[in-house]
Amino acid sequence: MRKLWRYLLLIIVGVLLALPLLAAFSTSLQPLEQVYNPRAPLWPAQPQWDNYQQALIKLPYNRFLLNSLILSLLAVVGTLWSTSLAGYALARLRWRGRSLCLALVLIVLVIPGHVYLIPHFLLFKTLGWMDSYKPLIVPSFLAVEVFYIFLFRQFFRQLPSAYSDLGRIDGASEPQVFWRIIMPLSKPAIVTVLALNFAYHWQDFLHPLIYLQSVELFPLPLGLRMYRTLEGDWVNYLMAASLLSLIPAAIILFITQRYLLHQSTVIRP
Amino acid sequence: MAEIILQQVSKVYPGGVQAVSNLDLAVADREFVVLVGPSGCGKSTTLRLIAGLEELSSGTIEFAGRQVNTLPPRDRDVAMVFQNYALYPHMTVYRNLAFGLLMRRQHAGWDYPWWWLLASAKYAQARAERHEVDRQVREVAEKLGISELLKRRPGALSGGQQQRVALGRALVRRPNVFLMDEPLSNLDAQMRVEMRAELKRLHRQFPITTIYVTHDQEEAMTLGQRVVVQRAGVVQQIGTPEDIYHQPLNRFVAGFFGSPAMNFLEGRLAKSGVEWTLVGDAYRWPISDSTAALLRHHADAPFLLGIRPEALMIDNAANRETARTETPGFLKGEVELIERLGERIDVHLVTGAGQRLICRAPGQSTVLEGENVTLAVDLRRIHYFDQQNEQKRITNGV
Repeated sequence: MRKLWRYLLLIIVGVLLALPLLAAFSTSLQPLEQVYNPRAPLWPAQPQWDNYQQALIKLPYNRFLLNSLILSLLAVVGTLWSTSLAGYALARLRWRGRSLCLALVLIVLVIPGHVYLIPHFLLFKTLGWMDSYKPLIVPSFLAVEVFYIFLFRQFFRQLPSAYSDLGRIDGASEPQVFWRIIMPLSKPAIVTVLALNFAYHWQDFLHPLIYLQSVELFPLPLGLRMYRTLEGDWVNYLMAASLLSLIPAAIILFITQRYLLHQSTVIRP
Repeated sequence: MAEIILQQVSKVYPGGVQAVSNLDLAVADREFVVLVGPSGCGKSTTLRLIAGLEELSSGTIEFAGRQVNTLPPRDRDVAMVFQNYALYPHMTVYRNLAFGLLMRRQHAGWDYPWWWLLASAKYAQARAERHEVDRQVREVAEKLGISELLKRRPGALSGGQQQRVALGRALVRRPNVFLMDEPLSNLDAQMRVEMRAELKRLHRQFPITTIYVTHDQEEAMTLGQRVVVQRAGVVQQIGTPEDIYHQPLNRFVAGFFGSPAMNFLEGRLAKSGVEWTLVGDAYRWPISDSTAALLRHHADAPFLLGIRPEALMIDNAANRETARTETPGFLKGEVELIERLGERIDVHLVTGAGQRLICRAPGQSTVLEGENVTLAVDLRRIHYFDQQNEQKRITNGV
């Protein structure tokens, strides 16, 4: 009986969470005239499946998709590479100033990202990087996403040090210890960073908005905004395109969820 | 093959903790030396210093006459077995065994992709090296009886098998020096005894200079050709297992070795007429002139008597025949507890003065809990320790 109540509760919450998606799906199948009609049935009398095709044709959707993939994947690669190295240095190597660096990482962690928006803008403008992917990708390779540094550090700290000691005795150099021993043992952390970071860059609207001007460089979040045009508000196409844009992120999440670190295992000091 | 010489080796950790202080030790080529002591005594740190995993604070370490103080671990040609084996869980047993060999090969190592090797015309060389590695891995696997396990991953192995793989990984490199950090402590009691014998056999088969760390005195006694006893970073005694057991240099060593542990009684020297006697709370024993002469310097202060459980005998009516020694002293006590171990029993007693003693008796001895008994003490087997002066041994014997 208690189980039944629990499931009932879960179903209700699940439906509530799914409602926006259902509404979007419904809208994506409406003819344009019906979109703003509050009396339109939830399931249109004649579902306009053609809307999906139209959405792909009206604007260079595939271009946006490709841009998004390039941006997100490069940024994820950069984040994985840089934050894992930084995390390793903070977790396993002994050097002067390590505690200070860790403190800085933690301080940066609590400062909201928007504080850096204008300084970053001015910096990249001075560098002449406007209207290019550089401001969106290069920082990833410089370990600016400190949360992941912290995540990697916590994970590396709980690996037995005997593995790396043995590697050193066996003749591995410090980079070899890292790449051949530590990283293969850190799959859960890597997958977690990959999933979180990919999702972040996939749906990032603000940074592309600030740095990109050419339409052919737009990633999906910026591209989707263009469905509201001077010609009219293509809300049904917008919804169709939005739903399509969710698919790659959903695939990544489904593949990785099995390995995702539980929050508690990440935060344990 | 190498002899190892440690001179005045010290290690102080950044927090100011002195893990090892002024350690002098010479390990002969092919010798099996055991470092033993309670946890936190600096034995593991000593091992890590020798391996190069920790930096020396002062002193020198030499392998075969060559100073290795500042050499990184990879250049010292040592192999190490850890307590938890540290087998790489993401590699098969074969890869685990080959790892150290591949890391030392120039071309067969994993740093170059095959197409690079092909392009640089080093492919043949790499193949030859791989074949050599393969041969060595299989040879060692054969000798350790783990050939069937090569394709498995460490997670699928039993504790004993993991232990063998860990040993194999160290042996396959034919290192100069073999370091083992409590390699048996994760095994169950029976397996531990088996592996102990196995280790002895292996050392005979591959006579490599070995330094072995344990907190288990039994392991130290059975494995070591020589034993180094450490306590709080300071060496207490270095010697053969027999030396350590029969001639302990101080109270700590005497109490650490032997199970059940040595009994300690307080005593002092007293003169009755011209005879010297040994007097304690519950006893008065005769003592030879020569021993008395040695003890006389300490006559002002009481000293400690160390008596091993096997030097005490229960002298009740039933055991009188076996209890007689040539030089008996007697002591009265009440039996508090009896531990039956089959071929022998350990009898826990309380003397009239409230001191607790343990005495070892043959398994067939008839003694009951609560019984008042007389103990016969073999006075020749008493060790005398100073109460001050780091509780050093003064002498032993009558």
